[in-house]
Amino acid sequence: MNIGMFEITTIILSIIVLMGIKLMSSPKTAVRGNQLGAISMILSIVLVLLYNKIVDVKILWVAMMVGGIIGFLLAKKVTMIQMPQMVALLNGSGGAASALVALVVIFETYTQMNGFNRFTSQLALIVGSVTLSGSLIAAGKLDRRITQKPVILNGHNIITYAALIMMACFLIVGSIATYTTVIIVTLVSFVVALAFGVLFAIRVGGADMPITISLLNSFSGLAASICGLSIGDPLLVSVGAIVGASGIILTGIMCKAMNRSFIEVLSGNIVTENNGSGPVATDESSEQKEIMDIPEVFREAKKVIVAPGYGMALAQAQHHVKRLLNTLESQGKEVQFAIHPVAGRMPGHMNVLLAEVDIPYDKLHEMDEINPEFKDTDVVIVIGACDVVNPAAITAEGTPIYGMPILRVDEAKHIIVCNMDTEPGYSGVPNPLYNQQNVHLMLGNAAETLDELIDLIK
Amino acid sequence: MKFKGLTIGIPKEIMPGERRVAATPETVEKFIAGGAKVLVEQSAGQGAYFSDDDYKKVGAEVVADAEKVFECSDIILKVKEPLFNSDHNKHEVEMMHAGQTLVTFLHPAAPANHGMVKDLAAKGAISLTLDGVPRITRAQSMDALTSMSTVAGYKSVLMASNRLAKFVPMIGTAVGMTKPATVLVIGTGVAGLQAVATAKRLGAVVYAVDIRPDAVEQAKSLGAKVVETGVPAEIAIGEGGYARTLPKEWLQKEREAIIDIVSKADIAILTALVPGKLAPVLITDEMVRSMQPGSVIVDVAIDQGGNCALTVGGEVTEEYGVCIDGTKNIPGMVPISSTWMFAKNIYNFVDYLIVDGKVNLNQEDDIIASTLVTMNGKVVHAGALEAMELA
Repeated sequence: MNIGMFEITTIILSIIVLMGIKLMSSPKTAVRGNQLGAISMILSIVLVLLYNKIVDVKILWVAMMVGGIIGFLLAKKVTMIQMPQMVALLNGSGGAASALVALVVIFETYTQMNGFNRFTSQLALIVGSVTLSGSLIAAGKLDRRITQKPVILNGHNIITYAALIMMACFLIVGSIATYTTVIIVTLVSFVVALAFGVLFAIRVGGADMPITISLLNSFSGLAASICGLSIGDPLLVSVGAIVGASGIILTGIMCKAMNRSFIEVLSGNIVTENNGSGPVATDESSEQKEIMDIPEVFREAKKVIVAPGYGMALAQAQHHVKRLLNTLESQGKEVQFAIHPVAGRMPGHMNVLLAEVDIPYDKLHEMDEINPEFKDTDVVIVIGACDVVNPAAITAEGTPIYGMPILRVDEAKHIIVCNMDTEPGYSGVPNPLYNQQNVHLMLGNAAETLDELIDLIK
Repeated sequence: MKFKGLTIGIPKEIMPGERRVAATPETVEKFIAGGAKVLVEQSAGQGAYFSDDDYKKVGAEVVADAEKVFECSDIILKVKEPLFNSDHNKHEVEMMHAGQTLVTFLHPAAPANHGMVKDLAAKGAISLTLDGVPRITRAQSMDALTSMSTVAGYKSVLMASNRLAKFVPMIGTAVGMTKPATVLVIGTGVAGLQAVATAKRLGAVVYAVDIRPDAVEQAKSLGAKVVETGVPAEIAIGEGGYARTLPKEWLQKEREAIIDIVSKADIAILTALVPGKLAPVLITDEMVRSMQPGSVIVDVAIDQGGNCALTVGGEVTEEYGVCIDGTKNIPGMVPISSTWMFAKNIYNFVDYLIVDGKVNLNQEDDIIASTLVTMNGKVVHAGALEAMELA
């Protein structure tokens, strides 16, 4: 095909991809959008084969067949619940593709490339590798093969910044040095980039995983686009840019919904349950949470409110709640219970459990009645509740819980959360309460964590 | 003052035995505080123990004639669907006028109601049915179906315990310890979960059965023991999280899985429903025969056919020494509580519906779209239209 037709087809395919993404914004048209995207991918492959006159390269067909079958089987086998980790996995393979192409291009054609191409191929390698390892970690976390909790190493921030600086150096050296040097630099850069991706993703906790995945999605598009620049393929540049741009926009929307800044997320300072490790001198935007001194907080506290949810029911922790109540009251503290209208999974869910352990009716208060009191409350203990205490219900438009009145536990002086994890609740909306300065997370089965809490305050 | 200029009419329910009413003095007061005029038919609240004076005290106008309530109101709020009023020798739909809005439980998909729904359309009335309120977070305060199921689940256990020939909890006596009653709840949706909770409160040992894993988890969270049916989740779960009608082999497997626990149950509360379809028969004649004499079955699912093969709709019978309670309209037996919830649900719904003193039919809105039945002279409810095609 001649040059003109290629450009035109590129434009048409890009438009189809854009239409596909637009259609995916509504559940009613999402399936069609997905199909459009798939069609444009197939057509792009056909176009590339024809344009580069490689239709009869047999090994290509073998590779496509293998890849296609693997993809098909994966998609068939995976259940809806495993969808997020599969998406993360596939995203990683997108990054890998860009990285591998960049590697090949550098190894094979470095000497013939101009400065621009050398630079972009190094960059594509870096971004692609970060995307690959980052996505694999994300998939591992989602599949619960890696711990849900943020993993923060000693001096994590220092290592991260060091890696960034190293990659920047490799980028420059790799664009200007001689062939042999470049090969060495490229391989080292590859390894460092993979490590960076791991460092980046491993410190993300459950609540921020959606934002990270969205960001990694964007990166894979970016990697593809840069790769397209290095090999001079306008179609790749265009589609990669579309994916990269829509990913960044989506990440921005999610940050806004969670009330977190883009920079906070980009600098890798996501859920900071800082164990005080290492000087975190450099980053002003990282809000260091002081570890709550629980015995001290309770010693001083006079007014306590308990906010139970479905998690308490699942753990059948009502007996432990009674023990907690007895302990606090014996210390002379005032304890009330805030029962959200839709706490649990049925009307009266909390009531029947608290009644079972004889917690008097007069301690149970409706939301409208108790909400004004949170600001004067010393400690709130949230037990297995997420949506009903989620401040995102106030700000996050378009989510299932937007507009639902919540218990304003976020207004109290100290908040202890005894939830299983920081995963979103029934609504699937992440909970920014977990990131508040004055919130202490005690994650795990409520029966056990309440026991720990009681031991701390006895 | 968002209700300013609107007149809301509360007629007395004419379905035989219906004791609920669509508004309490509390909700009437709220409507009036919002600027509405409220007409309440004489003795409308009587079944729920609200006197005409209670309504007058909060500012309602009590009207003796039902027809006048319909004539002068912009919005009619009812509990049950419009029926033929034999006192006035007119159908309630006839008493309505074009442009009037009706909010109630219409059950438009039920074949028995198709004629009435078409008449409503022909009248030019705007009608909305509360059984269409979607189970989404922001509609929970308007979900009258959940409210009524809650009442039914709770009351069913009391009805069963009342008829049971034994104690429910374990009681240590001078002559020995009684065993606690075994309560089996089949179907742990809204009604079933409430039944589990109530049975626990009474001290029974509670077993729960449901083909959906989430429902099973919720039953466990109330302390119930679970009997596995072995039905795979993909077959069991339908749209909206409700159960699906099972194919014959799986229905048979489900029956086999529960044969043992049914024979041991002193009380069986049956609440297995599939939206819009006939309820599955899970307790066969043989299974009833295997139960201990003196046991009780309350078939809450009778409104949609019943889960027990031997239930007689609307009656309490006894077979093989087992009491089978097929009472319909269980919420109507607890009129104060069910009215309290229903009146608030319908108030919240109307509050949502009215914008600037007018009924706002925004069909892009999930809640309006699923509850709208007739509009502009046509029937627009998807479920009703589908059922009418098949009729």
